[in-house]
Amino acid sequence: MNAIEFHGVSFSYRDETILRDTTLAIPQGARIGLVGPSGCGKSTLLKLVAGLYAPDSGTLAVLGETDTERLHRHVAMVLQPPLLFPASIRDNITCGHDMPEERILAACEAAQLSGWLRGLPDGLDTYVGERGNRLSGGQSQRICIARAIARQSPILLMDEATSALDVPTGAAVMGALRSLMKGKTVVSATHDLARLEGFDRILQFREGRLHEIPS
Amino acid sequence: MKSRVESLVRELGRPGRLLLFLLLRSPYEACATILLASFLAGALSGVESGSHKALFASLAWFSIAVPGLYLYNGTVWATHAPFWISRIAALRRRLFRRVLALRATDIDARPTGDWSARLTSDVSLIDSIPLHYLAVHVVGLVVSTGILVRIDGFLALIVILTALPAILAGQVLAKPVRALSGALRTAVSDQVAELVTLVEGGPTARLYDASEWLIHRFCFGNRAIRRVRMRLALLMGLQAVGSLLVGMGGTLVVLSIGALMVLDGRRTLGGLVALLHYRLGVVAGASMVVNCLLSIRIAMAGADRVMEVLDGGKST
Ligand SMILES: Nc1ncnc2c1ncn2[C@@H]1O[C@H](COP(=O)(O)OP(=O)(O)O)[C@@H](O)[C@H]1O
Ligand SMILES: [Mg+2]
Repeated sequence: MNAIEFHGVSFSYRDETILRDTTLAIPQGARIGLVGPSGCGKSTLLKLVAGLYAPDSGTLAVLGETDTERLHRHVAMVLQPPLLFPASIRDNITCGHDMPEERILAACEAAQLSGWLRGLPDGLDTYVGERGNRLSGGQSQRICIARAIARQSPILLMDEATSALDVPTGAAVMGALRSLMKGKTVVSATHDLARLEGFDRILQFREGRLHEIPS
Repeated sequence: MKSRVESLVRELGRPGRLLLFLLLRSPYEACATILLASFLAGALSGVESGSHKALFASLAWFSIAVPGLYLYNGTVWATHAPFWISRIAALRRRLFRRVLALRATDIDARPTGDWSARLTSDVSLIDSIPLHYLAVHVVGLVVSTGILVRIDGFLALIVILTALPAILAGQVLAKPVRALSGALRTAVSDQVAELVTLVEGGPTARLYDASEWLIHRFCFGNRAIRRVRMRLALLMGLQAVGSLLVGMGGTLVVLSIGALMVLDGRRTLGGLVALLHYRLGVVAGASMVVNCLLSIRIAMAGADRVMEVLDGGKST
């Protein structure tokens, strides 16, 4: 079974077609980079996979599941822009679910948060402020990455997830993911091809269609 | 409270025009009371003395005067409403301009929900400040009391005594009502903040199956608002029931004494009905004045939060 399968999927906003009769299969464990200029539809495609939007026509299966309402159960997604709730870092990572401490800490470690967290007097219980306005953009983004990792879904969708991080930190996050996400499927969208080093396949979005570019 | 209302009036601008409106509007209740009382007295005297002429004269006068009074009041209203609406709009514009001129640190000092509440529901509260109702009922109360004193000093004293509890209750309630109104404004702004979180965080909550958590975690404001509103309603209700009971007792006393006077031939039936009507003018007037003052307190809690932003502009 493929992790993600598009079969003749079309999707458009009111007056803009984003996907045109797209057929695509992403096998389990693959690491897919999705590139294209901003506005080409990368975020839309990821939101379709996560079940936030439903295709206008065609079928979209995520691990065999085709019911839009249930797709999100198989995925963890880092949304763009990163959204934090006005709560503690811990609550932002667990989203109210019971989680063992080690799982939270491992997610923080992979998201390159550990060093910074150790310097905080309240650690994981630090309040992030409204929309995370007490943090830097990179800190907010890394918390959102930690949230996605802690969910331990078989599929991880990242929308410009390292855009606010400097290149070494971004690379460190991706490196940590590589070892942590063995056997899991990762789809990472970015407008910056340089951020996709080490990916199995790179798909480029052009005029509502996806083209594979040799990596 | 007086100085805060004054500064609000100053902030709204064109105080002369506002005063003119209040003056034009204020005689309404007094006129309506006098009109009805003298009509009832005249018509009933006509009936008592068997005079068709007197009865029809009363009816004719009433049927001309009542529409006249309504027409007057309606005209004052119609000419005032646009003025008031434009003042509120001007205040809003000034508020928006002020917010735009704030430094980022000032903006960050308050949650977004707090700003939203100040710019929307708090300004709307100013809209509902019943200044003109207060003017109408104060004049009605003073005129009814004056006429009653002239008709019968002793009965007037009894009536005034029965109106006193409402006024005292108003004094006692003023402080808690003001405090609760302030608490209500804060609870409302907290809730706006939570609703913003709910909407913005919706997709994330859906992705992470966190909707229930989000509702539990962030909808406390709802409960706080409900609690404060209940307490406020309870206080206002107590005040209403209290004045109703005392008022009914007063009616009973005045009616018994007045009816004995009619039986003894010292007062006409029409005279008694008119007297009862002025009594109502005093008792209901007092309770309306108290209600208006309490409502103004409630609305001022919103006005204060608006003025706080506007004043911030003057100090920097
Ligand atoms: N909610 C929406 N309603 C209408 N149009 C949208 C919406 N979201 C995105 N778009 C449009 O769809 C196109 C693709 O957007 P998006 O998927 O965000 O692109 P990308 O992530 O590649 O930058 C853009 O032209 C954008 O204007
Ligand atoms: Mg995007």
